[in-house]
Amino acid sequence: MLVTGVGILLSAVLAFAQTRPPAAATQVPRTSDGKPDFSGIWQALSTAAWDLQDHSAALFGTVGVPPGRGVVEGNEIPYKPEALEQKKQNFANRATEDPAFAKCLLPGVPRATYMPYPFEISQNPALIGIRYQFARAVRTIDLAGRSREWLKGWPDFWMGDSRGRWEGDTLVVDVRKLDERSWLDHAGNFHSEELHVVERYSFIDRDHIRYEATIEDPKVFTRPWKMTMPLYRIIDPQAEVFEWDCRFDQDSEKYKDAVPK
Amino acid sequence: MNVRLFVIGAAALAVSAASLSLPLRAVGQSAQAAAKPAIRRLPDGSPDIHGTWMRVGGGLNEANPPDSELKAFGVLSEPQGFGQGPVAAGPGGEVAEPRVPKYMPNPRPPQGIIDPADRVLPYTQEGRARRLDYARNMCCPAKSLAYLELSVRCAPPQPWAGGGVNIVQRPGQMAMFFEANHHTRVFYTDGRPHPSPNIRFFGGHSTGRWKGNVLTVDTTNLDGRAYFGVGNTFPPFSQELHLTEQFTVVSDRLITFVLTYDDPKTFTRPVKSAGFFYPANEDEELSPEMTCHEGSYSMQNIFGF
Repeated sequence: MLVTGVGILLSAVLAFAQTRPPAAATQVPRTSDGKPDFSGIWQALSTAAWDLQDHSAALFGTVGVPPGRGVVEGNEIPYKPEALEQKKQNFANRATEDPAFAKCLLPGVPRATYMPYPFEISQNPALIGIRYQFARAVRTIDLAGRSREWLKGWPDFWMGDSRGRWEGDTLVVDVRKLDERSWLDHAGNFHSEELHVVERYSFIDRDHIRYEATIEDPKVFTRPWKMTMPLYRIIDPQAEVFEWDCRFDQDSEKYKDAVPK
Repeated sequence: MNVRLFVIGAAALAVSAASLSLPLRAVGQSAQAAAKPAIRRLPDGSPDIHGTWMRVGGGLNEANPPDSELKAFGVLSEPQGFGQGPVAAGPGGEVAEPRVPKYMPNPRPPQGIIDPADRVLPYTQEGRARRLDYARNMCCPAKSLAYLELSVRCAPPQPWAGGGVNIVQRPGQMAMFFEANHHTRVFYTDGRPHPSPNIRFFGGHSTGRWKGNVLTVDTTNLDGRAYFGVGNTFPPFSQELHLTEQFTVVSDRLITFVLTYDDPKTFTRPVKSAGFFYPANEDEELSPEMTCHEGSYSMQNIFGF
């Protein structure tokens, strides 16, 4: 009788454990309006900033480009033939022409996400602000449903114009008006002013985000394509995204002994 | 027992008891409560100041710079009629409607130097010498890179930079996203210390603490390259600059602040400047981006390479 009772109790406990949601999924932080709260410091740990596709090690600066698996679905970036020639030219000149690694200019979207440096998300129900360590890059993502009509006729932005919405627990960010001068990686993958990026952020668990970016640019690519990667939370409570304006530092060094003409 | 009736009855009893016990004070409190401006609160009780604001003031333009050489640069007063009047044409040549700040406080709180009261900055001998050296050599052309106006160099904005700003708060931190030159400031309110003095930044490192409606922010670890440029005051601060800001949330539509600049190598005593934030119009959205390096050819044009 006792054994049977214990057995029944044990079975009940095991059944409860199996039907209960995984503990990590229930611990996702939420804002006051019940949405997943992505606030915190995050970093991608891929080599996508150097090359979005599969690549071997290569020389770059003093240390070089690390080898890595690509983050592109199918490992193919579907260039139009004439655009592919531009990409090859970019690749040949990347040491001096990469706007990010060579010139310390703003990395654009989505490259800012997978640069090998941390970024910090600050979120409230109406607005998300993201501060990237590289080049003091910043984005604000409107969540209040504001129209971007007033920006018609404005020049494009290096970090684009971002409008966010929720699909369940997934943050979907629509990014347009991206300045064509940014590159998608150090390998010379590029875009035109017609680039349209749709990002999707969703928690895998409280310390990991699944990040997906769909790239659409009918001037450069034959069809939309997608990249995915995890983002890792920096859990050190003392971690910060410090100020880093490497372009100002570059210019300060370049012109330190120069005389105005 | 009917639970709902019990709860209603208990609540009614509690309200009656409160009313009977302190009738006069309750009336007084109601009058005071009506007079107190509304302030939204976060769950921890601190003021909720998220939103889009305009920051005005906090600079160090003097009323009458005493040195005769500086007088040649003219006197710049604090901006008057801020946000009003004709606006510059847009990129397509169109002229927008003038911005009329709906929530500009009237009368305006103080802005600019408030201590010393005569608005003449108390420079040290070294600070004055640096200032005059700068004024002599900054224009035109500037003698060298070190004398170039910081805005021409697309320097990171100083911590006292103003303009439109989005404020986002979360536990342990307040972040300000400025419109101009993608400037951001972060105030950590979780009690963390500043980094070691071996780590320095153009805009320094800021920590803050709330006490009631006042946020006191302490900024150190500046690298000495920032200075309050343009106009009539020039010299770089030293690395010893220590900034203290007191932001007072007066209401949901007004935050005043006092900025104390304490730099014993530049000033003989701390100096203070005041300013305020007021909300942007509801239909007003800050520009997603204003860049400098990305569109500037100033350095190439000035130096020829």
